[in-house]
Amino acid sequence: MTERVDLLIIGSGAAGTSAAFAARRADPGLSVLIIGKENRTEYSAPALPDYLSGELELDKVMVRTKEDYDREGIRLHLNDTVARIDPKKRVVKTESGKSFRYENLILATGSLPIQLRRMKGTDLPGNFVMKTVGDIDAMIAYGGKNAVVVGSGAIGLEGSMALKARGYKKVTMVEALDWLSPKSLDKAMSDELTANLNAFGIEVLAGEAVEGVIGETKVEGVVTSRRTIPCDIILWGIGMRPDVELAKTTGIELGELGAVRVDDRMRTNVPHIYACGDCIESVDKLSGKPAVHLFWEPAQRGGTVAGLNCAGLDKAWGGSVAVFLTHKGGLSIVGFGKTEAELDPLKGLVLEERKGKVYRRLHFEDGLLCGVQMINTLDDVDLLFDVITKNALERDRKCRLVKKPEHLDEMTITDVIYWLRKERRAVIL
Amino acid sequence: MTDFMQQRTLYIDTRRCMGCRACETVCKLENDLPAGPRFTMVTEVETGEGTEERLNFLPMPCQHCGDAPCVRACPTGALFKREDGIVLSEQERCIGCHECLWACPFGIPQFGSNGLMQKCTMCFNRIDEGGEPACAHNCPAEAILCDTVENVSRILRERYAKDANRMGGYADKLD
Amino acid sequence: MKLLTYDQTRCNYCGACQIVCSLSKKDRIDPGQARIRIQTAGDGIPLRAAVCQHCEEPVCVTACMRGIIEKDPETGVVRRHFEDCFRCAACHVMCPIGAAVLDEELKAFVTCDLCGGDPVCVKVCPTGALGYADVQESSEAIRTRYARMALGQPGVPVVPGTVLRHTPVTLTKAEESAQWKKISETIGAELGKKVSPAQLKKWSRRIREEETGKEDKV
Repeated sequence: MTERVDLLIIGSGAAGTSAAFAARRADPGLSVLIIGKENRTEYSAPALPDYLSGELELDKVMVRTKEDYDREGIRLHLNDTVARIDPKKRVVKTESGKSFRYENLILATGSLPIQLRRMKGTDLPGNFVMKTVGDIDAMIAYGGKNAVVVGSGAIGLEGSMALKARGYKKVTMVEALDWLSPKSLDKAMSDELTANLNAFGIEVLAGEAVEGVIGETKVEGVVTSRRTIPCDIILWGIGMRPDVELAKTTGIELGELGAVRVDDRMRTNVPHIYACGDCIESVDKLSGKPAVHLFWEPAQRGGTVAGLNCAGLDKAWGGSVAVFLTHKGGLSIVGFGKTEAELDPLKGLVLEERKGKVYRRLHFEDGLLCGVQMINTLDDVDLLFDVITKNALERDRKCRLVKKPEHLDEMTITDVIYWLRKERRAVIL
Repeated sequence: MTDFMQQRTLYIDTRRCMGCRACETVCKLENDLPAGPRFTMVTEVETGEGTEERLNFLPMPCQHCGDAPCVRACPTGALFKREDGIVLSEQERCIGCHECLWACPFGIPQFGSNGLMQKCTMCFNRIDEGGEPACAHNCPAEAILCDTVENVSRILRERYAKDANRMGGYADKLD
Repeated sequence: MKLLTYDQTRCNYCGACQIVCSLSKKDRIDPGQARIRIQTAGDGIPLRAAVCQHCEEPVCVTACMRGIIEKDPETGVVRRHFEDCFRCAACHVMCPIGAAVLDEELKAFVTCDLCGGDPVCVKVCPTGALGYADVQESSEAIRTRYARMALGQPGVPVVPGTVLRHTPVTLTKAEESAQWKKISETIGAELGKKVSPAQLKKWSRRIREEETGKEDKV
């Protein structure tokens, strides 16, 4: 028996759930059903490191309880995956054999951790990723004394801090590239971050790739390009990739980066099918180029836009900005926009400043702010974020939205911030 | 950016304005506004005493400022200034944060039923079709001029030259 | 909806709003932790108030990594269940206003909640720079005020630029004493707390000195 639903959402994470709530609120007459892989209501993936460290109990990780969905009239069908979508008949069939006929469908299948399946030893017990609550539960149950964390992105960074906070005696972060998170941080900032992590008791090895995992019946160590590190568990944080399997089998077009292509209204190329969240190809607001942004805010916002549009509104997506942000355990680090490595060498300028534990960098190109990195402070980041976003809009407009300061190279970062504050309120001379 | 003299401006000649509020009315009709918001608003002010007593009127649409404080203050970049000088807001980018209202010395931004910013657009769609804003078009006193700064300046000077004598001693009060 | 309105041309950067906000919410004076913070360019001239604007489409609501921020569909107030905040700082980074503050005691990012409809900062503001009014009415009021000045309404000063430009007002010693005395009394009446005018004056000086980095000789 095929059940009819106005809005069917595949995925119960941030994007799918935001879409559901937005759609129902815009049109309370809409029947909305979410199909979720995990047997859980929406929870906060960014909160998982705190769940791992023991700082948060599970109930504090959950974003919505079953009551929240019931109150809103949103139906849940959990612990099941979609086997097939028939876009012509507009029917979805799940693995358990259920069928749903939809008016509109939102694909919010999210992302999956990249795993090096071909590397020997990565299938042994003791290998972990940090994607779901289940992953954390498994890690906690497994225990151990020594951990190796592979990767220095959000998962690597927060994962290693969480493991140390949890009580692992030795935590070693291994990063294959020359320094930590080079797509977001310049070397000087990475060095600062490394010093902070060292102070937490985390050993950081950069420029070292993991070449193999050793152990007979379980993980016993990691072999890098330079050494062997004995360990009980390995937390792999080498990145996520959009989950586009269902999109591919349905004939939904992918973008050049391999994620689901959507227009500014979150529509895919297939009629009545929208997509949002980690599975889509976004537009980087700052560069104007296609980008895969695996962050919470674009997922929530994209989901909201998709949901509202399925409810008959006409909202625009506008793309997203990649923000590298960690604020926990006494460490705060933020970075967005261009790194120094990405600056045009002829037009680029870097202003930097150190004060105790605080290290800040502002990057300019042709006098316009285009990159920010800060560690151990978050002051004025909101202003800088607005300015960078506005500067990027110059591309689409023929007018200047933010002026360029004169003698920028003689200014300190504080001078720049005061100058930018004054610019917001032009009438004060 | 176009030379300032070529920027469009919306000029109100307060010497001609008699407070009929035709501009307010046609503006509301043109923009389909419900009760509440007025994209141009006429304020009445009494000045003078005795024989000098008079009523003055100031219609206030948007000033479409050359260096618009609202454009500077808008954190999302929704507000921008067109090549021809008209200051507009992209509804899609507006989040209704009111920063433009606090920045505007004149208090022009208003927030409609959808909570997003709305204001005088200088009837840019009429202008783009070769017409003029509804208020300028309908003002019985021809008090509203919508043209480039250069042209408005010229028109005002011409008016002064032609009208000064006919309006009698009024010309003496022009400073 | 009714919002906190800030008239920059009247603000004297006395800091009373920040003093009282922190006192009201935290039971101690800590201007840097107030939910309203007046920003300058390091020269003591107030530019704007960084305080939650209860935006129509709040960026914080979608940025929050725990989904604990929501806009009340009836009142329009954007509020947070800050007891569930795990301090990811996304709201702080992405807020276009700079309204989110990390409260040390609550261990959460917090924003102005308009004191439930009776904002205490408005009550102590000595110059009337802070108000609490409907946003549409505010818009009309500012336009009317400008028109009156422009057309020369009797009693409205036509000093060039008073509507457009802030002119810092230096109070005499007597005026300043009277100002802080009145604020002290208001704090007593509204919050039931005792803060002497001398203490208030000291805090005000501290706020100015921290912002400008210079000794405040007033």
